[in-house]
Amino acid sequence: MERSSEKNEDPFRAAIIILRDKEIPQEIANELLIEARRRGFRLEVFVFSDLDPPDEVAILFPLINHNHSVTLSIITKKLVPHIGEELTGRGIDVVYVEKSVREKVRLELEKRGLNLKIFDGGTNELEA
Amino acid sequence: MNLKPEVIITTDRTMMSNHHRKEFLGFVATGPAIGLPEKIWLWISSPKPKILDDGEPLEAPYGLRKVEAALLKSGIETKVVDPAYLNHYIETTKVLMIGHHDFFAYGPPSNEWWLITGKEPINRISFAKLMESQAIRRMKKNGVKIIVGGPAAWQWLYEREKWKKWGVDSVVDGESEKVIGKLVERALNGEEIPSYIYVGIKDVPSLEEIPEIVKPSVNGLVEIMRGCPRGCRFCSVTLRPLRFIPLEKIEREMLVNVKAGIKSGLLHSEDVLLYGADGVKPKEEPIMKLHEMALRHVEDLGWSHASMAAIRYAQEKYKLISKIMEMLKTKQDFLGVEVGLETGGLELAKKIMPAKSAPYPVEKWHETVEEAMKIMHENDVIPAVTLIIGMPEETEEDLLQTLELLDKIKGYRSLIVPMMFVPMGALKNKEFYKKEMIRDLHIQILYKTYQHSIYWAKEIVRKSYLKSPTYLPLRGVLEFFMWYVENKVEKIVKELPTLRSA
Repeated sequence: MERSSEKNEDPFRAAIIILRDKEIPQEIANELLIEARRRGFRLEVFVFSDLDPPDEVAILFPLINHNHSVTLSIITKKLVPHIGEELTGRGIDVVYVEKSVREKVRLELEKRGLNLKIFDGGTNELEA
Repeated sequence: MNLKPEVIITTDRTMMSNHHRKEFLGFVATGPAIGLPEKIWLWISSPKPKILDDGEPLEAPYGLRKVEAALLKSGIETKVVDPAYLNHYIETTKVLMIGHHDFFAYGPPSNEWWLITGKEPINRISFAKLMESQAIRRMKKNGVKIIVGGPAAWQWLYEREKWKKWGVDSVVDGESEKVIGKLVERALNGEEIPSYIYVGIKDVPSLEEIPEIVKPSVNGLVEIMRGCPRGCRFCSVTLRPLRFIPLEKIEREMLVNVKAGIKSGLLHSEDVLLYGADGVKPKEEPIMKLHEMALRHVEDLGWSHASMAAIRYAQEKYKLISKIMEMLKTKQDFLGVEVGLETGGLELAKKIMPAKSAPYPVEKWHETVEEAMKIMHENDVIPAVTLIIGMPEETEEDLLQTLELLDKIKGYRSLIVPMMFVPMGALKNKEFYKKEMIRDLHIQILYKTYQHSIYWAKEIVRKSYLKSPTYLPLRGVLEFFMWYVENKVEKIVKELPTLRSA
């Protein structure tokens, strides 16, 4: 088998900010897997939510169930007001923010120059 | 060496046992206690192992031994501890690692016995008891990090309440040798660790990166290869790259067992006959060399799995089954192995396991199964044959063809174990088999496999498997159990119109 793991490439790193009763669309899961395969078959996902562990892991079922080849590492975190600080310095490539997450959170992340993508995780509009 | 290292590896009683040196008896723990008290049931499947030093078992499941070896290779001191001795390690443990084949009895055949009897299987009960034991609760109170893994890691995704309740910090799914050292180091340093890790192809260990076990494995099990080239869609092993473990590495692991007094050997692979093969075509030389080497060291040898197609090909091309058995019979009467039949439905086979019959065409699947069963019967190879029902895309015609195939092989000594579909491998996003999905034809298949297995089980137990006088008490209990099941099933059959005419 051709092995290039010795090069020790960085994983593709994504953060997902989502609230309970919302879902990750399959397209986002697919997007992440494609990016991870391009980067070297490793994906690190930080899930920030108001859920208790391990339910945040279950949010990523669309990702887990469609993955057969990528090393997937899911780090779960409580959604906190200083989210920007939490994410800075972690080498995050993209932050997916569910559209019902407070505007303030979005602004803080934008201020820190993070690559934001807003997504619709369902119909229940909840405020953080 | 520190006798109380900070990292402890364990599992529950149904796994931490040598199953009376009869690996197949371990499967008894996949069912609920029927007709017998739970204690006796547990004694049949999983007697306590010999303990060496402060809770360290003489032999431990191979997977735990691999994790132990990987940690030691990373410079992390660790020890495998029998579950009954965890209370000796409450104050010293910082990371507790737990492995299992079937944590919650969702795997085959546990889920099948559960579905049929409506009672929780013993392995599930036993694992819950371990997690709720005072020792683990006190460890958790002390801030111990719990990391779980093994072939059943995926089951935690369906048991999130228990994941939460028992305070599991991380679930590792896949071949962990390359990731486990870093993960445990982070846990020991009090750093943030992932809740879930799936090991992808980039982090699958190469041959050189697979560490050799340093302490004995249950019943002398040693791995001879990883991965499988057949690509069946329901199987997770097929997603792993194929690697043949070099003979000298296998020999060193066998010697670890032999030196510890374990004189039996069990060759583990998804298809033992594909060791050193040319694709799906077995080759004579590597197989013969493997067996010659093994027989220099052990007093009896078993195989974990083989395939119908490889058995047929190996015999037709090289008379290999006869040659191997001729060698083995200098030391033992029979060879036990698990073999997958999975379905008799040809259309279904084309969809979900098109290479299972290779190098023979899938259209000749029945012929391949019949031939392989005949070869095994004539050479005293006793297979436990697995059959899956409730697979996605299964049609009535597939089930009828399965019944037809079961008729064709009824004269061959074997046990047939029907299993309900469990979403794994490339089918992992499909639905589990549920009670409401049972069709009349499923019941007929279950009944036919029961009739087949009960008929042959009596002969196998008496003449082969438990022939030795040492096994007399165990044989007595099992014969009572078979008598009990026969009576029970006959009563049920009388009430089931589907079966009265079958």
